[in-house]
Amino acid sequence: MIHSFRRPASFPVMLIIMTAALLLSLIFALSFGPSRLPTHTVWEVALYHLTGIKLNSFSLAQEHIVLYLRFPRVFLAAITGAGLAAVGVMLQAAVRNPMADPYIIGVSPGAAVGAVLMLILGWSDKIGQSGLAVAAFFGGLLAFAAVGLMAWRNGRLTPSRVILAGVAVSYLCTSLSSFLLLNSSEHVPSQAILYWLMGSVAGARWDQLALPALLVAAGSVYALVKARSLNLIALGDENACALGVHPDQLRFQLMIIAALLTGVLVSVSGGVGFVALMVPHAVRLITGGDHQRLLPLAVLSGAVFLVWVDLAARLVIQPVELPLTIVTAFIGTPFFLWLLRRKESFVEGAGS
Amino acid sequence: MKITCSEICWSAGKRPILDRVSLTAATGQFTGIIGPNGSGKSSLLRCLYRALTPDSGQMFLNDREIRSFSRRELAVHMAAVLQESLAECPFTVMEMVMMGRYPHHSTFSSLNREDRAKAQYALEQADLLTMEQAMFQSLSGGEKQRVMIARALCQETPVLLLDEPTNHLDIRHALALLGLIKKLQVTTLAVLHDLNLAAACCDKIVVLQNGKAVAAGEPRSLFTSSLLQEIFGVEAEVSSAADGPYIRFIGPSRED
Repeated sequence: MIHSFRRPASFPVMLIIMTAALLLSLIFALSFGPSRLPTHTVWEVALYHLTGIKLNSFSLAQEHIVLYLRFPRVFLAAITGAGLAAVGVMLQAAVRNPMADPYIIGVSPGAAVGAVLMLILGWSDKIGQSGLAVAAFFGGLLAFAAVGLMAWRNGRLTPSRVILAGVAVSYLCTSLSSFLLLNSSEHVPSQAILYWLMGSVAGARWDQLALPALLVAAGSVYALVKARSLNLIALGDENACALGVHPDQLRFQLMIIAALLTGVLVSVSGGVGFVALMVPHAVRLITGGDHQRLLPLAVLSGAVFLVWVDLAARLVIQPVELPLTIVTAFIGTPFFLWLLRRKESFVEGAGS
Repeated sequence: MKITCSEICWSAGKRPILDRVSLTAATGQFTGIIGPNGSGKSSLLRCLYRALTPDSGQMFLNDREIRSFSRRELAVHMAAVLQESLAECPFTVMEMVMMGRYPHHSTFSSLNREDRAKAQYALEQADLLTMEQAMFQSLSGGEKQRVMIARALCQETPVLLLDEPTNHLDIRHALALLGLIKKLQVTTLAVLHDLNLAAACCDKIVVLQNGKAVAAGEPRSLFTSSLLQEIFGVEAEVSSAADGPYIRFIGPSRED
């Protein structure tokens, strides 16, 4: 019998590397953009606003771009990436399914219906960006509630029921969005709808950052505190029981937190696909399944990943801004395939 | 620490699985549960480690009702080796065994060097020392089972529940395991399929049939041809050796 062994990657080292990677990514993403704005000006504006020191002169327009366009969007990308990665980790453990992500519990498609409905009814002008976010949030939670109700039986949510109900609700929501779009009049801003369906942080504003940041932090801390319980529930309900964890209770908490987090993230960034699914898997291939290591590294990796994705979305086809999911899919799929091939023995075990 | 079950009833939907089962497993003794498929053996264990909630009846560890323990507290007193198949398991052997230490820590305390030493010792006991860093998924069935046993040992509980602990093990490891558990002198309640193995290692055996505890006693007095005929529907000869009864199976009994 040949066994596959894991070369233990030092967790503290990886944590430091990923933290450094995040800082560098933020600096890099803040420095570059489609507008003709010298890199040094970005940091001069930042310096001026942090300390009041003005090294060189810059125009009001330049100041505006840096402060109100670039900084918030880069931060929102990081927050969204981190949050979605955390959601992916939580859901994959909770329903014990490698396919689990915010689409499979209905939240993302539901949020899209909420936003599309507002745009098509033409209410978006009246309720504004925040109103749209609220509509998306409730659309997402409504869809999740439907999934929960369908999957609820004998006082518990079983993983297989959640998946089946989630897939059903997701399809329904996707169809609803398409149906609404098909019947909409021509003046509906298709660009805006595309961004809602496929995700974008282009419209990020400072006042939108606080709530998602807070929730992502709280959700990640919760999951980290529960990391050992996540290990047990990921193995199976019987194992969890035998080692002192109530699987139904934990699953319920995880699903609710994941749904709330996703709801808030979708409401500001739209439906960003692939991150919640892929980042946890990619990190798991390197760290193994222990959530005590997986979770913090996935959160950091998710942030790094989406910062770069957004940078690519801005720069690849200027002046067109790509929706994020297009980029995540194009970057993510080959990367993921490569990881799967490279570490095949690691995933399957040597015997297979 | 003594296990007492009193009048446990549990049904799956409308189908009664456990019907007023009462039993005791005495402190430090090895108590076996035998019975045909579907007689409720695993369900009884599942009630004890609280994967199932009985419809009625009471369960005690010493004099304390099991449901009055917090779940984590219960796992400090009682370990279980289960039959759950783990399809997706991205953990190493060491990580799996370390899980046995989880119940000993509250949410905010972390595993330490002492836990690691205990896990290492458990691995040694289960003859797995060289596989510490192997991926659990890459192990054979018997090796996986030994990992689960090492995890239970590492949990260091006064009570051990075993659901067919030897069914994937080769005979050497099966005997070694049972010898090891007997040496620990913890209260053990084990579902066993191999009746000769049960006869050899149990201090006491409880027989389940259709969800009822129909017989109990020491192996020497319990095993008779008529009991095996009645419970399992097999023809068998029971001869008594110096160290206990020995069962030779002849075949399924003829339908009358």
